[in-house]
Amino acid sequence: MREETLVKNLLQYKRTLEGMLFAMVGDAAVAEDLFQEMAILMTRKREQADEDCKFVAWGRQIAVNLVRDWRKKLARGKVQTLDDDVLEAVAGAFESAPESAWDARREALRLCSDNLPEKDRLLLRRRYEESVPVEQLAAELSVSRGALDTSLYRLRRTLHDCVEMRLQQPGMS
Amino acid sequence: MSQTPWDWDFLIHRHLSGEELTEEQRSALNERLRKFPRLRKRLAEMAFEQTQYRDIRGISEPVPILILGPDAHEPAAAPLLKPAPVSAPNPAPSPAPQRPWIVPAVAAAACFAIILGIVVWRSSAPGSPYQVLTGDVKAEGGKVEVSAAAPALFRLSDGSEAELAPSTSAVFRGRQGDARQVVELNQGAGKFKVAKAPDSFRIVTPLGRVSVLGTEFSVELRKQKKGPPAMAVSVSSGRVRVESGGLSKELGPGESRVFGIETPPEKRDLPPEKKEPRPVFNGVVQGTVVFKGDAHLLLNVNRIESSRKDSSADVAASLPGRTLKVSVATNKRKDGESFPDKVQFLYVRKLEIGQEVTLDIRQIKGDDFMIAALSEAQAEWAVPREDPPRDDKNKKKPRESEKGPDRGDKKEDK
Repeated sequence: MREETLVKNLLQYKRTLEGMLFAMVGDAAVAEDLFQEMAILMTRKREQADEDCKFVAWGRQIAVNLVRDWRKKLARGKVQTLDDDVLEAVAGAFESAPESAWDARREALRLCSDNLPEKDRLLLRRRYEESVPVEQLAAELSVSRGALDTSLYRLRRTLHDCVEMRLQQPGMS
Repeated sequence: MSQTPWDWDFLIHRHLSGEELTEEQRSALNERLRKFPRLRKRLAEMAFEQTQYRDIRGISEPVPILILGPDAHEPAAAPLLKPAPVSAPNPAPSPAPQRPWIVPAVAAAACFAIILGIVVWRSSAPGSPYQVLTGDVKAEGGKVEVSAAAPALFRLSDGSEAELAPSTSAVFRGRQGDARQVVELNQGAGKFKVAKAPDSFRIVTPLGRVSVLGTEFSVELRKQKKGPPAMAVSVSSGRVRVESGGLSKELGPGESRVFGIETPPEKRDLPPEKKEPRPVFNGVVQGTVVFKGDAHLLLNVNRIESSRKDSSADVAASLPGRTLKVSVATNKRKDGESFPDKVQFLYVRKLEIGQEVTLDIRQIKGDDFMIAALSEAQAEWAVPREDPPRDDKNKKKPRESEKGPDRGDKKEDK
């Protein structure tokens, strides 16, 4: 694969690949780091990939290996949510939808989040944009950790349902 | 027997929040994910959405890093670190425009700049790596000294801003290796608003350095009445890597640690503790450079060339195929400050990603290694004869003079 093709593909599929890594590790910061490693590996191995190869499929192989390596390096006793054999299946789910579907989802998410009440937007911002830990955020809001976690979960579901509804509308997907 | 009716979305939510599930929940979720592609799709969608929250809500807003002066008492509280709104439009032709829609492309491009070893800023913006916005500053190249009267505000080449306190002395190094911005803080204090980007923003202090890996952290340089100064690092969110005294430590959300205060006095006063021997690898490996910073590289080991006597055969056997972080060795000056070995530093800097090398390394911990020694040929390759005015044979042991604030890098400012 030529260098410019690789750069183009990385730009195009960055979100999908980051999402794939995040789905496997459940930690946004780790997923970001792994994506960087992934891009480096892809640069190194670009000669082995065909110009018209399925980029996300190629990325999946690398992503799964990177996640496995990362898990091996983790301290013993730290239990990972997903079993080793499930990782690949989860990563594969990102291949089942075309890139345009992910773009549509992203646009729907933007529209849905714009329509959230200010309070909820602030909560999302503090937790997911600024990565404020749940404990700290709960202290700021004077609520229990569990209550905050439930609020975040409900908010996430609300957003997800809204996204699904929007994607059903003609012209969105 | 009917199965427990799990709320699968909730379990996925907990996984994506980094929470540990109970064994029962974990096992049920895995079983379900194995069997049902629909749930796998659901997990993929929820993960994708979470990674997108940040992008669509304006990831490009600068994230402040606060360096508290010795007199400050504020904790590393979130309000202090809360991203400030983008203030004035950037007058300089900055490569990091603060428009949210462009960030994903810029982020990916910046990521690629590291990969390909392209120094984007240097090529696109010749001149100083910073711009003085306000304040009375004595500047010489990248080195700045703020007057005692008032703080000074700087804009850095990546769009980040630095507000240095009165009487602060710092050096803006600009892009170096894998770091898009390196700021040496030698004295004083300052507040940093760091534009978010995939490559790291690094603050180097006499006691070590702190790299932003994720989002927010604070660093406090503490002057102590007795004993050496200390550096307190507190992470609000995201992750940072702190390298101090030859050790590398990653801190996560809510973690804090003081560096340079606890270990040296204790180690001097107490008899050395008897530790059980840890299996390590010390020896020569052959591998491929897959990533490179200014004072470290990631080496994918192809094979072991030789092992020293103190090496564990098991550890050696586990190395091929693994990616090791190999750092430049550090030397200590009389005043206790440590600095990277110059020849090793230049050697690492000169290496290219993808290059195959044979290196004599020493294990520090886990996958963290240090260059034990360079061969004569490697040292000569690192420092060509015409480069320094000294004799080549002296290169293996760098001297203190190399730590001067205007060494080498000054030419990069041009």
